[in-house]
Amino acid sequence: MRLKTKQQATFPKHNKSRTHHKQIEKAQTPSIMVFPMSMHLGAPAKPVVAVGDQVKVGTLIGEAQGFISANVLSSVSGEVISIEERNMVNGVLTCVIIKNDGEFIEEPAFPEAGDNVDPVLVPELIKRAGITGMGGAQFPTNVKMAPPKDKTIDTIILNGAECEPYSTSDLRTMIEYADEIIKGVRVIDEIFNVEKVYIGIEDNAKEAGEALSKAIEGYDKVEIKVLEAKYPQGSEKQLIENCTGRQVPAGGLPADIGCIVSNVGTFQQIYRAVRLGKPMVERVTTISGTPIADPKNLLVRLGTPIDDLIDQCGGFQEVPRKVIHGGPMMGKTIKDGAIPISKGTTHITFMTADEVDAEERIDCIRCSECLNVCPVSLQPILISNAYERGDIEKAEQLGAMDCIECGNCSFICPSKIPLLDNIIKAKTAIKQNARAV
Amino acid sequence: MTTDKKKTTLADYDLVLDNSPHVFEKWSSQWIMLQVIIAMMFPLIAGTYFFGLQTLYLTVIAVITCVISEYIYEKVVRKRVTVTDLSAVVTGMLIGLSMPNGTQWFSVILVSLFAIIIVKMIPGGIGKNRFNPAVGGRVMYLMAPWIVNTFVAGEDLITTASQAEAITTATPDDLVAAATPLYYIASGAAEVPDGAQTLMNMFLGNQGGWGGSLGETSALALLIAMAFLIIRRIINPKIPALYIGTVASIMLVYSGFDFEYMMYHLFSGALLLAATFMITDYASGGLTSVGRTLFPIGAGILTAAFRIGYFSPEGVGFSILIMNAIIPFIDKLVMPKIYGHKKRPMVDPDYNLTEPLKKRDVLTEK
Repeated sequence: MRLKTKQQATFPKHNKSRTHHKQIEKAQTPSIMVFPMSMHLGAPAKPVVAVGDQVKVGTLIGEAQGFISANVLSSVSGEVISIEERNMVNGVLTCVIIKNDGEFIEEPAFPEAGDNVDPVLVPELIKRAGITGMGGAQFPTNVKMAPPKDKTIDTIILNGAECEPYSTSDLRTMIEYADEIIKGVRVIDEIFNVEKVYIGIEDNAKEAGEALSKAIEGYDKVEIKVLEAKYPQGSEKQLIENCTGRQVPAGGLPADIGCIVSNVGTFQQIYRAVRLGKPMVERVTTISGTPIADPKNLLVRLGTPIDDLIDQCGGFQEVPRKVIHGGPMMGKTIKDGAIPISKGTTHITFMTADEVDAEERIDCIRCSECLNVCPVSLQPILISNAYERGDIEKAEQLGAMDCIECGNCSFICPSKIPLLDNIIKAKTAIKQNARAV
Repeated sequence: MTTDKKKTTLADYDLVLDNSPHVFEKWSSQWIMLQVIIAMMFPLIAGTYFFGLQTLYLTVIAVITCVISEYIYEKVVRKRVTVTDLSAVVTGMLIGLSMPNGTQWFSVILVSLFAIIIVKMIPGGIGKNRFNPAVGGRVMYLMAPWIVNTFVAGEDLITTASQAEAITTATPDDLVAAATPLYYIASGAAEVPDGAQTLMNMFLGNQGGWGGSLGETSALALLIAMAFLIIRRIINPKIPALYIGTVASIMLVYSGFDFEYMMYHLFSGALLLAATFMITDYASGGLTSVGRTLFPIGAGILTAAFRIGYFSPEGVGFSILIMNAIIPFIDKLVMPKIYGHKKRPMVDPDYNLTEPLKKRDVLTEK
């Protein structure tokens, strides 16, 4: 039943065993909450509250700006105590700081929500609920669910292929919220009336497959694809190809080939927004890694600073040397414990000094491994060489812009060449050149 | 939340910031080279058993020369010293194993210097050499016997068949002891002549006073080495398989499906040594997947052509050098098709032969 995929990949250690079987636990919510005006991809939202304002759970505090953007809602009730610039994972952002009164008084549910929502209203409800993709990229979900009129959507794909090491948040969500996820699928299915729904999971997530199989009984167009556990199995483009055999054209979107892909957790949020009228105010996040004494899958209110979660997971049993927002393959390192859990925070990974590799770079031996593991069939070493020689044009011809930044090339390189760093720098240079022209 | 215990915060710890990925495959280029060195122990032991201690000491001389010359070269041109990557040791061992029975130590030093300085370091060192250093050295040794003979006239036993033929007319008696098994079949014969070695002896490596290169003598030892490298995932089995398969197929057809004749070719000369250690070389082989398929096929066709058409068992060495030279252009034509694109990218081969040394070093140091 397991689908062996031909996709080029690597096999980083999963490191999921410490949280794999741990039920989702509700995290305690601290008194100070931080809401960056961008918990999404695209234009940052604009603050619509002022210092001193009282807010409730679900109160709009940041309004989406422009086409690709998302609303930011408060996840607690309390008072706005500050609006300030802060350094977040992806740079400096305006943040609304809210003092939590601990009451969790909720805004009323969306009045349009219910069992018989007109499908036309669904994207609007999703937008109001502030839902973005929960797999990491945080793409505004309402935009995804309202593709241009000329695109025919015939396939929905649920991304449950949680390929980043340490992360078990999707796994637990699938096991514990399988019904809500499938109800969310039905909401979207009502818009597009698709031919086929695929749920892509990895073969190390057996329990998730069982829970979902139960939830889809009688819903015949849904098929669970059990994929080989390898990295980056959960990459959107690769998942589409593995499920449908189609390739997203260069520079295009999944909608161009009739597909809508979203993380499993996102469908749960869609269900809650459209059927129950609830905004997206919390998510499941895995807190794990060797330094963490008691790693957990926590149901965390968005905006909870990372510092407030460490003691809830038993504190540190070993000294941490690296803290990663996300997983060790694509995550970004952070130093500031005030950085909050965001809509795409699948997990926070802590690493000890011993685990932080610092092997010296040596010259390329042309082993071809980076070509063998690239999921989009680039030649990473050639792009890296071109960049290091200052030949940006050649880097572009070699397809630098097609890189999905999965990190496989740097992961596998026996000479420890920072291939991904160089490719990302080349991409930045290419974009600058394009702007200059 | 309890307040009696101090809250754990990230600010209390010395954290590093850097770019993803944050985990790496547990291997290194040194480890890869070490596996190759371990694999070469099998033919080295076999060579020492059948040809005596000369195999060992010539190999040691080659290794020492390679390492020291690479070190001195890098010091002289002020490059970062790279001898710790062990690639010079691999080149040295391979030179030792490719030297014919009875080679003088002096020749080994010359070959090693040529391989490291001319073939490897001047083009830019590891990974940037277009030609396999050991093969380059070996072919140089063959092409310029007069250089060696000038210094150690007459003492160096000529062992390759092409040279043998050239000198046969002058001193036929000296050569009997040195003629390789391949000499018997490479001269265009389409069957194994009477008086040749038995297949079993060639497989095990017992040449019984016959000539041949030190490390090539035992097909068994080479096959064990090959299996070791495949199991260790150092070499892709398709490369030796395609090479051996190509030569075997051509030889079968050429001899009218004479199985013995084909096996004779596989077990003689440098074929298995090349299949294990030379055509599988990363730096001078193909980069793309298709390139890595075409390289051994091309080398196999050329090897068979050299052996059948031209009276030269050193066809293996020449074949590899020819493929080394053209593989960048093949790679250019068969670059992998990028996801979501209809056409393959096509960019000039990535060899930096003309690039000034300085610029590259500045970047490497960074």
